Amino acid sequence: MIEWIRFIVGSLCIICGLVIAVIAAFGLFKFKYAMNRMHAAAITDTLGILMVLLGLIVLRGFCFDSLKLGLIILFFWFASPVSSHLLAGMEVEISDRFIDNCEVEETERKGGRT
Amino acid sequence: MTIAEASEFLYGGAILVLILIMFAGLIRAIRGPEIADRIVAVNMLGTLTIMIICILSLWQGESYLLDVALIYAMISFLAVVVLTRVYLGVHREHVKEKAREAAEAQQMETSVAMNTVPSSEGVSPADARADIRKGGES
Repeated sequence: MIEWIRFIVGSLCIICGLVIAVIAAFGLFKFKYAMNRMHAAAITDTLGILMVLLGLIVLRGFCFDSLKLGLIILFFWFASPVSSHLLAGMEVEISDRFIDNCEVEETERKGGRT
Repeated sequence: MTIAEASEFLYGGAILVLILIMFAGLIRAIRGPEIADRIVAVNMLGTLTIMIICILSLWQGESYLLDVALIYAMISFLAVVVLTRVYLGVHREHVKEKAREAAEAQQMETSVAMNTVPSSEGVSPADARADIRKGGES
């Protein structure tokens, strides 16, 4: 009985993560501009992978594998904001559509990034 | 229905759904009008691949696949950093090149104007430069 409860909790976590990933893929097509799409895709990088790997940790039980899964979650939570920051910086510097889509002053754009 | 059958069903279904989402991301990566769209889609594809590798690891009971997933996460992050840096470098080089060409053309124009050749009244800077080069050769 306790095995079934564990299985159901883990599978609910995994299904929740899959639903979040589907929502992110939907947002990738719904939005019209790269910054908005970045916002949608970052859902998968944080909440989606947290739910899926948390479900796997619950299914696997407490051992060395669950430590590795937790390490993957931790690495993603550090890496995803950094890559989003780099992408946004590149988009601000390269794109011509940036001024039309985001309301910023020209001087802010010039001095705002390194 | 035992737990083994149920977990087989769960893992297979989860991988199937993730593969469908990956196709959607692939379409966005191919169709993306700007380079940022493509890099966002590639980043998402890397995340979905790591999910698939982790699920596969538990399905097959091979714990070394988790190490593969960890390395894959690092390489996926590195790919985003490198792509961003490369495109920024290319763009900056392009801007610098354009600015240098504009300055050169302006300089050539002023020198032509100071020489006051009457035939080069309505000539563009590129033509003026070609004229000067031809004159130097002959």
